[in-house]
Amino acid sequence: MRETTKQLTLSVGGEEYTFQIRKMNALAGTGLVKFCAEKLLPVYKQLQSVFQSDDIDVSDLDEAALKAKEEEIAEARTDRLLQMIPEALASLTDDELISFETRCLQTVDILKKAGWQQVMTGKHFSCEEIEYDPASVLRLVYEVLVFNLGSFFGENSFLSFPNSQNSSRPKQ
Amino acid sequence: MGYSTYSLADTYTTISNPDVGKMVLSDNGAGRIGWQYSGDISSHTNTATGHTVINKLVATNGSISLEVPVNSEADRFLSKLIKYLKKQSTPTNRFALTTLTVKDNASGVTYSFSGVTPRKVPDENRDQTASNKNYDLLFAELVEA
Repeated sequence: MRETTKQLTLSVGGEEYTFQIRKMNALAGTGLVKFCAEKLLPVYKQLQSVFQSDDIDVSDLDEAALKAKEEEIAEARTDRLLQMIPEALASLTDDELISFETRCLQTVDILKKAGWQQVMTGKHFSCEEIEYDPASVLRLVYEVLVFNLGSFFGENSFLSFPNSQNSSRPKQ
Repeated sequence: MGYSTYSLADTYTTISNPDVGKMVLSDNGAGRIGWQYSGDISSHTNTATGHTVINKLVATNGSISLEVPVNSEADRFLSKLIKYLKKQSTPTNRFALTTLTVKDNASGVTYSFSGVTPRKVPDENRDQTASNKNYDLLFAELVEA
């Protein structure tokens, strides 16, 4: 049977809370796919390019030199990321970001003593636990995207076809 | 001649219970809200000679009446709250943890009600057109700031 909810436990302010992510209906889901394809995919691609392997010949390096080289590459990637993140996020306006987060959070429930309670009703938080915790909010938004849209961007999905054409990895 | 303005949209009402959740009633369907103290803050005692003694009394508790449209988000939340509080399995020490806040943005006054409990389960009715449901709540303390 197809799973329509997924549970996860997050630590917020030193306490553990159980959250439930629900599946969006198909129309809401495709609306979110449109937003992700328009706004988030370009951002993701830019950030992903930082982690593509650099063409470096390491065959004649000993262990110490190899470790030094790896550290040098990691530092260079960190510098590039720190430069790229603000540029990449500038493509999202504040209103778009808030609207996107709100739509995602409306599919999340928190387990209270009285039962499941939606974390967001309309545009307002319906639980105090994460209302002032941006890290937890972003983690939940990520989980909503993975649970609802993962099948669009996975390896064998139709949206991954352009990715497989551009991949520089040799096929096995 | 002077004039003043008023808008219900300036009033922001939130109800919160740690075991049930939180709801912004004013943005989820709630209509009229009214509250009154149960007791007086002064009374008079008259002696046989006609001397009057003014008694200063303490009154901190009272009642709140909320009007919400049937089947609104506010109605659903309040029903869930009352259902949870009514249950035999709900511990008594969790019964009076609900708080309600009314923020009047026009005057800048915030009314904070604590120890809020339902007086009774609201009456229900179904008619040809949508109607409002009245929730009667009691509060133990009101702080104005």
